[in-house]
Amino acid sequence: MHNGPMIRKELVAASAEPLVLSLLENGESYGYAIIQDIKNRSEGALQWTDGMLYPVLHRLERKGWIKSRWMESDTGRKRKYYSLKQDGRKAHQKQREQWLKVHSVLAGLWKEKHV
Amino acid sequence: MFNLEEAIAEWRRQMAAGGMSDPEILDELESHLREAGAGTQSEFDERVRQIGQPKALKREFAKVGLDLKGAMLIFAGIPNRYVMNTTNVEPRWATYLKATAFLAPAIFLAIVSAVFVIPKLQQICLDAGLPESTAGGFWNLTHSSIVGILFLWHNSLLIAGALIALLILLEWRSGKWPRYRRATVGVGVFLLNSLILIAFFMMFLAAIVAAPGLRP
Repeated sequence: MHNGPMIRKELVAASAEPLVLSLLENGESYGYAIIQDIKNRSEGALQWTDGMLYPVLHRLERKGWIKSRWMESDTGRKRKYYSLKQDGRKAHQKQREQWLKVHSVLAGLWKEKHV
Repeated sequence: MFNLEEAIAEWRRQMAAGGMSDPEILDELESHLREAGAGTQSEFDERVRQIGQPKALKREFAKVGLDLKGAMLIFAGIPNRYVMNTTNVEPRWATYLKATAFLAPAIFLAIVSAVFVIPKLQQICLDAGLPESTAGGFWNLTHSSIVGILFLWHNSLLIAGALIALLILLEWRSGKWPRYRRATVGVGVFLLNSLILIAFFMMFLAAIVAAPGLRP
C-alpha cells in the first residue's frame, strides 16, 4: 500500500487519459477492471472516484480514440468493454512522448540539484 | 435483510432524481456496482459513495459534449444520443404517437396542396405557356417534383398501407426492432417532413417561373 502523500487531484486528472489509453493498449477492458488496475499499479496513490472514470471513457470514445461494446461475461453479467482504435494508438503515442519529455526535464533538474 | 436488486433500483431512482437519467450511463454505472459487489447495506453504501454523487457525475458527463452524430440525432428529435440501449426502450405507443404528431401538420398540408393547390398551379403553368415537359432545364426539375407529388397522392393509400404493413411485420417478427424503433421512426419522420418542405418549395419556384408568362 502506498505510504507517501496522496497525488494531487490535478495530476490525477491530467494523467487520466494517458493511463486509460496505456491500459487499453494491453487489450480490451471494462470500467471496473480499469479502475482496479490503476489502483493496484499505483498502490493506492492514485485515488479516483470510481464513477469519474466513465466520463473519461465517454470523452475518449467521442474523440474517436476508443470504441465500446456491450458483452455478457461468463457469469452472465453485462459489461461495457472498451478497446483502442487506430487514432487512439496515435494519440497515445503523442501523449507518451509528451509525458516522457516532461519526465526527462524534471529528472534532469532534480539530478542537477543532487550533484 | 439486504436485497441488492432493491438497493440498485433505489440507487437508480436517486440518480435520476439528481439529474443523472441517461439510461445507458446508469446501466454502465450499475454494471460497476454489481462488479464491486455488496453483501450488506453498508457495503453497498460505500460502493455508491465510490461511484460519486449524481450532481458531480452529471457535471463531468456534461463536459463530454456532443459530436456531429449526437447533434444530428437531437435535430431529428431523438434527445438521447444513446438510442440503442437494451434495457430502457421507449414504449411503442409513445414512439408512434410522437411520429404521428410530428407528421400530422405536414401530411395535412400535403393533402390540401394535392387537392387544391397543385391543380391550380398546373393551370397557372399552362396559362403561362410552360410546356408539360422539356428535356433538361430548371423547369423540368420543378415539373418533375409536381409530377412526383401527384404520383404520391394518387398512390397514397397504397404507400401508406405498405408502410403500415412493414411496421406491423417488424413489430411482430423482429426481436431487434424495439431497439432501433425510436431512431428509425425519428429519422423517417425527419426525412418525410423535409421531403414535403422541399416539395412546397419546388411548387413555390414553379409559380415564380410561371408568373412572368401570365397575361395581365
